[in-house]
Formats: sequence, C-alpha cells, structure tokens
Amino acid sequence: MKKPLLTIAISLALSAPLAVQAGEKEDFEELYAKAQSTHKDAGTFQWTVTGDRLKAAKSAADNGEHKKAKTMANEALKLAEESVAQRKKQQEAWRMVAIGN
Amino acid sequence: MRKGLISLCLTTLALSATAPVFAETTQADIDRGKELAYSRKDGNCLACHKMDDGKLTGNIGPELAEMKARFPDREMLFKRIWDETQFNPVTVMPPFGRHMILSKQEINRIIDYLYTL
Amino acid sequence: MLKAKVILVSLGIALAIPQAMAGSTPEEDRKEAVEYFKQMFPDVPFEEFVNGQYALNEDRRKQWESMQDFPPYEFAVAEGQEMFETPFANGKTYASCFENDGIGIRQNYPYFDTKKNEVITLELAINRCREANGEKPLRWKKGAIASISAYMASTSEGKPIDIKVPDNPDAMAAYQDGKEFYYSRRGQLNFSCASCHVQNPGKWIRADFLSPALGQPANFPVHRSKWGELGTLHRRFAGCNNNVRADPLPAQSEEYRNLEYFLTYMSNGLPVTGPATRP
Repeated sequence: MKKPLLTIAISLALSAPLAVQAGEKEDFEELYAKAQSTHKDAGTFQWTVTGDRLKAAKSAADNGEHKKAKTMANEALKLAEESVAQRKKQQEAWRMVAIGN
Repeated sequence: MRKGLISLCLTTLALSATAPVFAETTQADIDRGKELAYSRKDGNCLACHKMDDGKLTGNIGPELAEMKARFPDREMLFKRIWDETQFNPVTVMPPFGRHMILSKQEINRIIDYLYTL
Repeated sequence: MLKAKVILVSLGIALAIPQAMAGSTPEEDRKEAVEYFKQMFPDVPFEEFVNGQYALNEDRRKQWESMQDFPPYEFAVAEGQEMFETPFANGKTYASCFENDGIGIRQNYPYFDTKKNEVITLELAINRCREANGEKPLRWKKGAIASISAYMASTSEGKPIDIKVPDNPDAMAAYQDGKEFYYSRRGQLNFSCASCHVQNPGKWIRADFLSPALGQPANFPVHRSKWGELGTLHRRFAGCNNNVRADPLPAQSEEYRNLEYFLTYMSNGLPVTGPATRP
C-alpha cells in the first residue's frame, strides 16, 4: 500500500525539476526565436553585439546551461530592439548633419 | 570581513537605486569606475575625452575635469551618459545606457570616479 | 547650410523640409561639401585633401614623407601589372574588358551602368572581366584584386576624379542611397561615417587622427600599417562598420557600391593618388 505511494512521490519529485527544465527550454526557444527575428528586422542596421549574444545563447543552450542561455537570448532581444529603433529613427535623422538636403 | 559585508551592502544599495540620489562611495567603487572609463571595450572615455592621467586621449569631446562643479546634479550627469542624444541630437557621444554599452551600475561607478576629477 | 541646420537642431527647432524641396542635386551637394571643408580647413589647398590626415597634421605628414622613398606597396603594384598583362586561359587579357585597354581609367570608377541598372566599381569590373573570360573571380578585399586595382590606379595618377550621375532615376536613387548610408548612424556605438569624417575631421579619436570625407576614396587601394598589406575601399568600409559594432555588409554589396558611388562623386576634381599609405 505504501510502496505505490512512495513510487508516485518519488517519480513526482523527480519529474518536477524535469518539468521546470522543459518549461525553461520552451521559454528559451520562444525568446531566442524572437531575438533572431528582431535582429533580422534590423536589416542593414544589425549590431555585431546582438549576433555575439545569439551565438552565446545557442551554445549555452546546447550545453544545457538553460539559465545562461535565457539571459543571453534576453540581452540579444533588447539589443536587437534598439538596433531596429535605430534603423527607424535614421530614416529621417540622417538628414540632421547631411551636407545638402 | 565586516568591511566586505558593508561594502556588499552598499553595493546592493547602489544597485537597487535607478539613479541614486546619494550612496556612500568607496575607494573600490572609484577604482572600478576608473577601470570602466579607461577600458576600450567598456566606457572608452579616453577615445574622445582628455582626463586625469589617461594617455593618448582623443579630443572630440571636452576635457573631463571639475566634474562636481560642472554637474552638481548627479542624476543629470547620469542621464547625459545614459543618452546624450536626448540633450544634443547631433552629438557623436554613444548613448551608453540606452544602447546597453554600460549597465546602470557601471554608469554609476563611472560617475563615482568622475566626481573625483 | 550645414551649420545653420546644426544650430536649428541644437535650439530644438524641428526641421520640416518639404518633401518636394528635399534632395539637392549631386553637384549641389558636392559644391556645398567642398565649401564646408574649405571653411573648416582654410589653409589646406583643395588638391591636398587627397592626402587625408597628412594634409591636416604636420607630424603625421613628416612620418609619411619619410616613407615615400620606399613605399610599401611597390611590390604589389608590380605584381598587379604582371597579373594584368598575363593572358587568361582563353588568350585574352584584362585590357580587352576596359576602355583604353584599362590604362588611365581609374578616375571614371565607379560609374552607373544604365543597362544593368547598378553601380560598377573597378573591383567589380575586374572580377566580371575574369568571369566573362572563364576565370574564377578573385576574393574582394585584399590580395590579387587589390594589387591589380593598385596597378590600374597607378596608371591614372594625377587624373582628376570624374564620376557622373546620369540623368536617370535609378542612378539618382543609387547616389541618394549611398548618401543616406554615409550619414546614417549605425551600430551599438551609434556612429555614422559622417560622425567622424564630416563632424570631426582633424580631431583625434584615441590615437587615430580623423580625415575629412573629401578626398577619401582617391588613395585606394591603400596600404595600411595596421594591415601590413594593401586593401580595397570595401575592406575599409567593413572595418569602419565593425569598429562601431555594426555588422559589416559584404564587399561589393549593393549598399557598399552605392556608398562608394556617393563618396567618390564628392571627390570629383581631385587627383587619383592610389595606391597610397595610411597608418
């Protein structure tokens, strides 16, 4: 009677971290994909540092370092968002110091 | 040990404040600030500003001296390092904070150092 | 005009340029640029601008002059001439692809090809010549292509740069595209080409002395001490982009060719001096 309960308890205890890990992995993949597509949106205004973070995120994920992977992907996303903002802003702002109109 | 704890507390305090009004500055903070200001991959202030004992400094920006007198409002100095384009749209100074070249904490350490100049 | 704009901007007055008025002609841009740099450096004769930092800084000029007896690119130019004159497998040579057999024509590059609707740089023409004759294209940034380009430039030494923007909407668009690239801020450091070479020439960025936009492309391909060899203009573009933490674009991409088109047009009338040396 006690044994099955114990088995359930143990398997629950074991599966909990796995579930968390699986959740982290999904979170990471979503974040990473978003960072990648935002980086792509920057077009000819991509930043080298965004690419560096994306690479670091990927290799951390491949090594099973999920926390680091998420941090790197998150940084990549923020950098990519700024590069997109720069691209949009420069469509007009380039004229500010241009010689000739 | 106790000193370490105190400085840890102070650092935590400084870290938690967005643009701290005032935080006890330690020599370690100032040293870290100078390191960040001089390092090419971080602040690289010397690329454009003459300052302190920096060698081979650029001259695109003004010399960084008398900083406390010139920027009595710490928050204002923080904002200008964070994003000088908000104050002068044609400046060539990189928006260190907005573009994540430096973190809030790193800018605060640089200010700790700049206030000794 | 530029100064007026900067003042307006610093006063916080929004610039409202009516779209119909926006877009001056290339020739108006060029004249305004010449005037701008003349005001900035009143003692520098127009033709001296091709020497970049050496026209503006006496110490740098002395170091440079002492190098001129044995310029480090001499061997590459000789090698370039040999490659230029050596027939392809089909018996033809590079001369067959170019006007005047490729001698004394550097000043006309880049040009806008109205049939292909694109900017043709000298390096692009060299590789297209190879491909048309059944040879593999050369790598773009250094090595053989830089040597051949250096030899071809050397045969045009002193000829005034003569870039044309034909009265054609595509040619105008290519020029405008290059102009926009030159003035657009890029990378995490938020620098445009103009941040350094229009707003701050004559100043130091750390241990590097900034040259003016005017005359910049006249001395390419260039032998940089930093490289220890010759490199093409697009290699330099990529290096600059990388320095400001912007992803460089591929050499001979449409963007870089348009940039070269705009930048070289600005130097019209200045003599070809490539190959040259720089730190």
